[in-house]
Amino acid sequence: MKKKLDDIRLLGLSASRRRVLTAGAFIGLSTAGSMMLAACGGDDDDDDDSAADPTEPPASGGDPTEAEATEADEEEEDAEEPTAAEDGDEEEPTEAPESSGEPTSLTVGLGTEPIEMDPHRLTANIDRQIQRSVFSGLTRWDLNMDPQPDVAASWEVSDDGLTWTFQLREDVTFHNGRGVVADDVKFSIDRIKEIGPGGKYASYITDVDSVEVVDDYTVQFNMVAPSGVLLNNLKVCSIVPEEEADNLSAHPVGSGPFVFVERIPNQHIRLAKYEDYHGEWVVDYVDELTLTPATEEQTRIANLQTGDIAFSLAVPSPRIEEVGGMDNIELIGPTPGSASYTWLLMHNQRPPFNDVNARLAVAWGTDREALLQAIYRGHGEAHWNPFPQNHWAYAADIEGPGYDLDRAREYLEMSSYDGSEIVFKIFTTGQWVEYGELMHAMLLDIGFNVKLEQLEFATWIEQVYQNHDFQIAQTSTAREWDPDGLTISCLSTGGSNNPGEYSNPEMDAAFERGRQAVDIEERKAAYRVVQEIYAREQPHVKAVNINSVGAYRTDVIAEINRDALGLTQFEYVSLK
Amino acid sequence: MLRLKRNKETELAVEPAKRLGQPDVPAWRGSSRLRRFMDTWRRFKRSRTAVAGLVVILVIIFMAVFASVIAPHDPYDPAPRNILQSPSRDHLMGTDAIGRDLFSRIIYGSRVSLQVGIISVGIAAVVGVTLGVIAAYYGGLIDSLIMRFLDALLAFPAILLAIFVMAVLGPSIRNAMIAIGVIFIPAFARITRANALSLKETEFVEAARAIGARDSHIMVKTILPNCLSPIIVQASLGVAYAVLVEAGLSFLGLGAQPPEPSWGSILSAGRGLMTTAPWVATFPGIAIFLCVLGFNLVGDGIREALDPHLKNI
Repeated sequence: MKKKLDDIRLLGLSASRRRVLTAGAFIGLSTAGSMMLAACGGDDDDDDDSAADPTEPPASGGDPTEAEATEADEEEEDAEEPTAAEDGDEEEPTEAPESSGEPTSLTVGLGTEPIEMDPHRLTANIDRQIQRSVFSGLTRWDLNMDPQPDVAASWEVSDDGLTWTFQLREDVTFHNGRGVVADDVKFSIDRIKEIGPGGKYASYITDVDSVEVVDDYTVQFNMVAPSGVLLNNLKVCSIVPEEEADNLSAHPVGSGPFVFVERIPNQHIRLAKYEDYHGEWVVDYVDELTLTPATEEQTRIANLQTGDIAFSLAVPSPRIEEVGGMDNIELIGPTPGSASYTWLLMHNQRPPFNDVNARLAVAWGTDREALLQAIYRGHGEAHWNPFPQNHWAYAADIEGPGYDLDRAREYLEMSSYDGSEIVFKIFTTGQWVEYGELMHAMLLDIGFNVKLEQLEFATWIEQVYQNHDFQIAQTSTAREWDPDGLTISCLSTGGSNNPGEYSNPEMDAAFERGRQAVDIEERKAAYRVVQEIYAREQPHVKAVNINSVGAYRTDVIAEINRDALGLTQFEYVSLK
Repeated sequence: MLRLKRNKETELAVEPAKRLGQPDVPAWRGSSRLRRFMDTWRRFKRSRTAVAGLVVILVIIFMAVFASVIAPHDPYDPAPRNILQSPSRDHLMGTDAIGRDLFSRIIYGSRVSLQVGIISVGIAAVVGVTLGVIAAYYGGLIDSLIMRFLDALLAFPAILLAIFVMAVLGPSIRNAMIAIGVIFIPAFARITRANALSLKETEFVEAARAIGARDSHIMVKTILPNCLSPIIVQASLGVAYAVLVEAGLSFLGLGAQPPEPSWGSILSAGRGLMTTAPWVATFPGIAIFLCVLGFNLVGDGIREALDPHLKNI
């Protein structure tokens, strides 16, 4: 006898099993389907690329180092992390009319997703791009990296150099409409100091003892010592409104040329031209700026080719020639020169590199030209001196190490190196493995017994920068253009970029002189001493000044700029 | 316990039991191992794909063993002025990002892949088979313990488990062998256990026990030899997968450390160069593909060849 399907009885209702199952499946699927639709309409997935490819913990002055995630710049460009492909709301850059009829917009591809928009809390280099566009300081940098008046119209220094009086412009306004007054300056400086090592800039103003408000538009800085770098450093001490200070990370409000409009993480950051900007625009063009953060480098270049973005801040060096050869695309390097360089760290207090002869052996055995060609395709300078050759403080007549393998081996002979195994620590992002392998081969050539150890970046930072637990390690560093910022944290006793613990009182004294002197010739003399000592002692070996390269569409952009840090002042960008 | 003395009497006592209780041994007279092997080999040869796979494997093994003779250049020697050259007569597969000859690096890379592949499977086989036989033989609590432990291992996706082990031990080739070995243990254990379980109940095992053979003797001499076939197949398939996992670990920077060449790390370096220098990624990719394919085909071929004797895989 055939068995009938059981009837299912529930709640007084009765239905065949088949019906019940069918109904159940229908209800279940439609519920699931509607939930999925609801979810899809929501927020983006969170690809977290904010651990931007690190390179070097920047910081100038005596910042205690933390595992700072810095932007991937230059060959750090090759180190870019892939992130969610944006392609959200990029607008095609349009023709800019002579009269401001239609809004003109510019879409830019950054190298990495910016992490922090609060100008006092940022640590990564890419965050500075936003700071530059949205905020202003008492001074700003012109296209030659020299400090110029910004919010401060003029200033005076007392004879002893300990008191600076700044006269503010009266027409500067924040993006929320309020006028900028001296109280805001005081608030901002105090806030930077309060945040301390949590942000990048506290160490830039260690010589500022206190800030006093004299009247609404006059501010007085009381210094601990005279300073030749104050004007330069004030550029980055952004002035922020107190009433918005708590929310700056989400909604930055400053007095810069662009107003923050919106940010969709991993998609874009939109800025609009600030109509009441107190400064000048070179040309009245860019109305809207869309910064699209990181994408896989291949996608970014493809976007540049199709015109979805008009400017890519970072081009990975293996593709530089290829990109430069594309139609309607030009490359742009840093002006006046680059503040980034490769840095072979050696522990100066531990064998074998506590012996200057061992260090000189490395310095003379480093084929800088080869590194420049192989890794950076020639974009940069192969030179022993951290100062780029067109820097105003560069002393051209000082002799330093070149590439001479015989001489390197002589130094090795003279040193106390006993042949024991040395561990060479490198980190694994981008082209650093290749750089490390090349460097490793060179060290072997000189005659050192070296083993390569590759570490994940955070581990590398912990071991090398935080614990100083290394013998020799490779990194690069992105500094400031001012000679103080360019070198001091790397070569001074206790400097935050000096994990090799190099310490030379003569060098420290020279740095102090350079920092405190206001006269440019005095500063030059001081930094000359720095370079002389550096050439003699080679506490760390510098190989290449890295010229980070960007690419832009020539059918959209007429003029664009790129400073020594690889960042752009968009208020000076003109469209076609 | 009485030890089984191998003399004429015990042999005669054991032999008929063997023949009676063992469905998978052909009723040959004088079942010589060599005869059985030749039969299997003949069957293996019949499959063209299996032979092709064997040829590929032999070529790779030859490359690995004679690397220093075959390789035209030093795989560690960078030539910074000669980077990313496309394949030419001097550099059959071009050069990599710092000018090293890719062909030589791929040849030396085979050493890493084979080493890790074979040794890790060896570790897994030794440990896994032991665990499987013990679990099957003793049953009960021991069986439960062992199987639960293996289930825990199986719960992880294989590569994730390997990465985890590497993170604990640190990146190196030796640790890669251990890590990959660990992920294969459950497979071997299960197969062995399944076979051993059914063999446990056969009369000849009973007979051996009756004679007074020690447990270990029974396990090693009687149960184990009859599980070998599926183990061998699993081993060759395992090597294929192990080579792949090793490439994956090296790709992530966890296997062979620079400057040692490994197919996975060369592939990783070539990833960003696909548009400018596609050979850097293509050749190691082909090498991995061929090696894995070869071992897979051989494994399948062995399984086919042993088919009449296999109870289960």
